[in-house]
Amino acid sequence: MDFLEQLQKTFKKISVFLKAKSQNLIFLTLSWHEIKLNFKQAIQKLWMLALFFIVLSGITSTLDIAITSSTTLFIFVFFGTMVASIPADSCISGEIGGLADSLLSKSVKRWQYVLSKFLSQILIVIIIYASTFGIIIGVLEVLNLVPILFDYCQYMSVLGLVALVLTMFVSFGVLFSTIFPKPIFSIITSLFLWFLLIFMFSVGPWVSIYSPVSLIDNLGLILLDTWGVKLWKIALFNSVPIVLCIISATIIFYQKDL
Amino acid sequence: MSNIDSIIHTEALTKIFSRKKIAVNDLYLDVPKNSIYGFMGPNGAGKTTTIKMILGLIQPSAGTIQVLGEKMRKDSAKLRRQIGYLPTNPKFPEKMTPITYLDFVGKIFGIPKQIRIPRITELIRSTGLLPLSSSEIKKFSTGEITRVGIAATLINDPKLLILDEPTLGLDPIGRTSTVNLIIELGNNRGKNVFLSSHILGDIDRICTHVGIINDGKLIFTGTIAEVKKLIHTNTVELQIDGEPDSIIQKLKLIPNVINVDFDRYIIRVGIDSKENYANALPQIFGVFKNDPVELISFKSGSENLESAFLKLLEDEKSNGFLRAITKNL
Repeated sequence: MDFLEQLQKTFKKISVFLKAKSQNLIFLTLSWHEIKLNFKQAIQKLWMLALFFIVLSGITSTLDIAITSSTTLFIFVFFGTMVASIPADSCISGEIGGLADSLLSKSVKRWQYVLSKFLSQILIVIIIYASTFGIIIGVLEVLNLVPILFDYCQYMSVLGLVALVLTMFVSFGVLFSTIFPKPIFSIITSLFLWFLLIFMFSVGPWVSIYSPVSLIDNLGLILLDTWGVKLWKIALFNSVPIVLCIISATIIFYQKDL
Repeated sequence: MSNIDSIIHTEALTKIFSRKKIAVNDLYLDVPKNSIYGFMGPNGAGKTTTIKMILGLIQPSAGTIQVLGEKMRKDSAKLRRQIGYLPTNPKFPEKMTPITYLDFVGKIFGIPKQIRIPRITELIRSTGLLPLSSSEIKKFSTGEITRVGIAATLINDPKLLILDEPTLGLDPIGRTSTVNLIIELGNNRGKNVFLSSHILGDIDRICTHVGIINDGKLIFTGTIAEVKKLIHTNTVELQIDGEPDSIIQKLKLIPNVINVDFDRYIIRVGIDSKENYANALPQIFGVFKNDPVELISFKSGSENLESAFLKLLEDEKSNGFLRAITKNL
């Protein structure tokens, strides 16, 4: 009996999963399409990534993991956030009157369209970011340049927090692209926000801990687990806007006339 | 109240943008089943706004829309599965080929692979895209892009096709092939077609019914014959080759002919009344018998859709205010 009951439960679970999957098929198709398109564009710009590694190897001649990571994080926080939010700024407003009309006049729901944009834009940035650090850590490990007592847990926390910062900037970019009719307005607003958040550290001691720059400045202390700031607070500070951006963008886009 | 014989039915449809511009004003539209309906109007008349409201892309400020018997809303994705829409100057992902784009659209409609692939092949053939099927869309001409758009509108085998200015920007060859394709879809494949255009010649050639919109207001709706009747002038235009004098003399002798003018190879013959119009025609043609002057072409007084369109716009301009007042009284 127990076996039959378990079998029934398993079948129910599978049928629920399949139903959910078929309902979200459009969302998955859209997201996959976006990711493929973005990847194609990213591959065309691979020379930029290659150039980035050449510059990086020149700067970090000591091949110390802390210095290399600090320099790479610096580049991602100061330039990556800006570069990542620019395509996001035009991902919806650039398609209104064109592909967005074509898709939404078919069986695509507005939330599916907006969420597919968020998912694809965030994923592409995170994949590039993760690959960069994957290569760096891989090279240093192969060359036996990572200290034995190196705290990977703390290190991953910092990398995760910077990934959150990148996600937050991308999310704001997508949100602005649903608000403004032209990509140029979204880009200007994103740049303003970028300036505000990145240079927030210069405002005062209380605010400065939430600035991504503080993560780079205190990387050594974080790795030694001697930094007095709770990392979850920074994680929360960066996560809440992402959720708010997704909710607001979905609501705004639902109200929007195309 | 919904009209079950209508594919599209709107009541008091109104759209005001930013509380400033009235784009569509109190529009009552009924598109009959199995018709090719031409939605005609000058630039900025409100054609595209109406179409976007019909598709649920724009929220009306007031009024209701029913498409295929169901109320259209912004989230009516199920209803939109039965519609094929071609926007003005359609834009597609440039890196895609017609095959990959149609496959992507087919997936969005959730069409299974075993149906999707043969349908894509058929559409590529029927729209004449076979030689271009593996080329990137960015290399395509306007006419070729329109054909990709038409193929994409047909991928879900829709009951209703909504085409917004499908012949805009096309050269004569592209225009003819697009017009023929629409006629084929409407007449031989039984699709309901709703198309907007300001190219009157295309509407005249393609459509069975017509709606004329000006300044957001529907000023006429009916069959093509009905709109032409509006400008019926009891005149006949005869294009001739040769000296006109003898023919003019003979025409003046016909009992119901009241007026004969000649201007640059065209003789205009006025007939006294609508009732005598049909009786006078055989006599008019008869004057060319045993005469060296050759009749090149013949045009009745109600043939020109352009004249009908301009007359309606003029009437609307002069009577619109009066009608609005009487309606409110």
